[in-house]
Amino acid sequence: MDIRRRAWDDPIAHLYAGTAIFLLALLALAFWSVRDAPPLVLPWSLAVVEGLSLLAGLSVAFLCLGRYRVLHQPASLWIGVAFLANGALTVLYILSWPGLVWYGGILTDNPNTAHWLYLLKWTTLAGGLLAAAVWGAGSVRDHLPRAVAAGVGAVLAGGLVMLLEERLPLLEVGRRTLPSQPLVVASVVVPLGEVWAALLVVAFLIGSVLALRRYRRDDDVLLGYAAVMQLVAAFILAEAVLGGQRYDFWWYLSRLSNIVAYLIILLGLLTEYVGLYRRERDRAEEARRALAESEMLRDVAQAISGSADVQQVMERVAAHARDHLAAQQAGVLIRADNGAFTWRVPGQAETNGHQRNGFSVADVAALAEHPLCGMAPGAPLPPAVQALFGSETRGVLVVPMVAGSTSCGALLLGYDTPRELDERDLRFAEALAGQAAMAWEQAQARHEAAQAAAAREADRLKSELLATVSHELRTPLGSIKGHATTLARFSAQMEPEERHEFLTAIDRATDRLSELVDNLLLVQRLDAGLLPTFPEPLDLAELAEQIVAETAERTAAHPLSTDVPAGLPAVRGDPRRVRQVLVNLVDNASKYSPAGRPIRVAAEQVGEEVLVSVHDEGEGIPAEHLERVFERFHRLDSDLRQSTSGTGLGLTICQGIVEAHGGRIWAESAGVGRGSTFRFTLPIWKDA
Amino acid sequence: MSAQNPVRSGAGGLRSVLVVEDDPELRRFVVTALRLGGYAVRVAADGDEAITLATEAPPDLVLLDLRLRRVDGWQVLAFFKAGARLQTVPVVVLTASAGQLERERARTSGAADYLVKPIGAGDLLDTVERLLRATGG
Repeated sequence: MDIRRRAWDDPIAHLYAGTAIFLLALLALAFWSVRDAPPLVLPWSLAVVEGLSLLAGLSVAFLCLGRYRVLHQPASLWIGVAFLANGALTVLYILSWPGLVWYGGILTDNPNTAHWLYLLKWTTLAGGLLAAAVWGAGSVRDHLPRAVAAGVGAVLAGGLVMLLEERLPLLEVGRRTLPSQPLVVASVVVPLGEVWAALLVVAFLIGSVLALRRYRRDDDVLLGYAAVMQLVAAFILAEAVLGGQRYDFWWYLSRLSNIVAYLIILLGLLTEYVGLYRRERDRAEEARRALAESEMLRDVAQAISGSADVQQVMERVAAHARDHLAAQQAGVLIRADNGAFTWRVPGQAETNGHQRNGFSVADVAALAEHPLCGMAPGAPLPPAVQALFGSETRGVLVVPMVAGSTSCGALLLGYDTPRELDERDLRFAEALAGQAAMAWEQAQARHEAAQAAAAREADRLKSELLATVSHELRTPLGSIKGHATTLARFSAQMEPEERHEFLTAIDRATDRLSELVDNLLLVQRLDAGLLPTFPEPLDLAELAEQIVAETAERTAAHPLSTDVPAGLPAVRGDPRRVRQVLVNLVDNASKYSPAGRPIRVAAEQVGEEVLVSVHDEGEGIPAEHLERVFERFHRLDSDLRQSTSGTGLGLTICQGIVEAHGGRIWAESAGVGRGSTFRFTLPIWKDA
Repeated sequence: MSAQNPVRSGAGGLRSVLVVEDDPELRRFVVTALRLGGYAVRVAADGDEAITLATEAPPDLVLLDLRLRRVDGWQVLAFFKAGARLQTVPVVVLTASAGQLERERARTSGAADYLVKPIGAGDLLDTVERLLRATGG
C-alpha cells in the first residue's frame, strides 16, 4: 500500500506512464491506419505525427540550449543547435511534402524537394549528435561559433534546396514514391538517395557508439539518451534504404519512430530536470530539517544550562522528539533516586498511577530491546507500552538514555499508525536522548554535591553545637566551681552576707545548668516529634505578670511592660510550656537589644485565637533571617552576639511548643536597627 | 567599682589585677577570690572598659575573658601586646572554650596562660601568684 502510494507520487513514474500510453496510442493509430489495403492517399495521422515530432524536436532544442547555458557544455550546445536547425528544416519539409497537409504540397509540388529536405534534416541531426559525442563535456570556448555556423549552414542548405528544386538530382528513397505521386521515373544509375541514407545509418551508428562511450566516461545522461535515440534514427533510415515499394506497416512504423526518437531524448532531458528538481527539493528539505534539528538541540542545551530541573529538560526533549518525528504521543521514563523510573509526559503536570511509575531498570532494558516495537505490521505491542500510551497506539519508538554506564531513562514516542523511521530520524532521537541523559547526569552530580554539602553542613552544625553546648555548660559550671572553691578557701574571711550571696550564686548556676540540660532534652524530643503537653485554661495576664517579675533581674537593663487587656479569654495551654516560650522570647528580646530599650509583652484576641507578641527596640532582624531564626542553632551574627549566651535552641523550642499547642509563631521586623516583634497564637480555651 | 577596688600598684602596695569578664556571676567569684587572696582588683565588663582602665593605670596582671561585648577578648589581648607600656603585663585568658585552636591562638597572641572554666579559686590564685612572681612584680 505504502510503496504503491509512493510510486504514484513520483513524477518520473508519471512521465514514463504518460509516454507509454502515448506510444501505445500511436501504435494503435498505425495499425488502424493500415488495417485496410495500402491507401492511395496519405493517412491523416502522418500529419499529426510530423507535427508532434516538430514540437518534440523544438522542446529538445530549447531544453538543450537551456542546459548549455547552465553547464557550458559542448554536447548540450551541439544537440540544441542540431535540433533547432532540424526543426527549421522539418517545417520546410512538412510544407513541401505533397499531400501531407495540402494536395501537392504548400511550398512546392515536387516530391524530390521533399526527399532532399528529409535527408537534409536527418543529416543535420546526425552531424550535431556526432559532434556532441565527440566533444562531449569539454571546453565550450571554440564551439559556439562553430555550432552556430553549422546550424545556420544547415538551414541555408534547406533554403538552397528550395531554390534549386528542379535542378537537383533525383533522389529515389527506397525506390519508392509517395502514394500521391505513383509515377516517378526510376532512371538514375546511382541510387543517390539510398547511398545518402546508408551513410546516415553509418553516421548514426558511429555516433551512437561514441555517445555511449562518452556517457559511460562522463556519466552524462543526455549522451546516454542520445545514444539510444541514434539507434532509433539508424533504424528509421535503414528502413528507408531497405524498405520495399509497399507502404506497409514498417513504413508507417518508421514514420512513427521519428517521434519516438525525439521523445527518447526529450524524456532524458525531462528526467534529468526532474531529478535535479527533486535533488534540490531534497536538499532544501534536508537543510530545513538540519536547521530544525540543530534548533531543537540548541533549545534543549539551553534548557540544560539554564534550568536545574531535569524533569523540565526531559519533557522538552520529549516534546521536540514528538513534534519533529511526527509522533502522536511522547513521554520519558526518568530514573529517580530510589532507582525506580517515573513516567513524564510533556504538558501534563503529574502522571500518577502505579502502573505507569513502577518501572524497574530491567523493565526499561526490556523496552529498549525492541526499539521499534509495533512498527512492523502485525507486531504485537508489549503491555508495558500500552500501559504508558493507551491501547490506540500501534507503534512505539524507544530510545534508551544512558549516562556513563547507568541507564537513566528512556524516550518513548507513540504512533497511532506504524510509521517508517529512517536512519536519520533515529540518529536525531538518539541525539536528543543523549542530551537528556546529559541533563540527568548533571542533575545527579548537582544532587550528590548538594547532599555532600548538606552532610558537611550538618556535621559542621553538630560540632558547632557541641562546642556551643560545651561552652554553655562551662559557664554555670564555672560559677559553681568558682563560688564553691572560694567559699571553701576563704569562708573564714568572708562576711556572712557574702557567704550567703555565694551560696545563692551556686544555687542559681545549678538552676541554669539544669535548664540547659532540660532544653537539650526538649530539642531531642522535638526532633523525635514527642512533646508531651498538659493543656489547661491559662490566664495570660497572670502569666505575663509572673514572667515580668521572674525575668526582672536578667532583663534589668530593659524596661519591661505588659499590655494584656482585662477579660482576655483563657487560652488552651500547658502553663509550663507557654511560660517557657514567653521567657525565651523576653530573654531573646533583652539579649538582642541595647540596654535601656524597652520590651513590651502584649496579648489580644483575634478570632478564635489569642495573639501574643513580644516587642523589642533592638537590632531587628534582616528580612532573609525572619524565617531562619527558628531553625536549630541559627543565631544572628550581631554585635551583641559575642556576649549573648544561649544554645541557639530557644526559638526552635518555642516553635515546637507553639505548634504542639496548635498555634503558629513568626517573627516580624521593620529591618536592621528597627526592633523586632515575635508573635505567636494560642487557641482560646473551650469547655468540652 | 573603682571605689571598691582602690588602685595600689608598685612596690610595697598590693599588686593589681584587672579582671575582664562579662558574666556577673563569674566576675563576683573571681573578684572576691582575688581580693581575699591579697590583690587589688579592678573590674571591666567589656573590652572597651578594659582598655580604658589599663591605659589609665597599667595593672600587674590581666584576667581576660574572650567572649566580650563589642571589643572582644582577642582585640584586648592584641591591644596589650601592641603597646610598649602594656606589653610586659601578663595576660591570662579565662574562657569557657576548651578548643585546641583557641588555646594555640591565645599562645601565639602572647597570652601568659590559658585557663578553661570551670576553674577553682585555688588554681586561679596559684596561676596569678606564679605569673606575678615570674615577672618580679
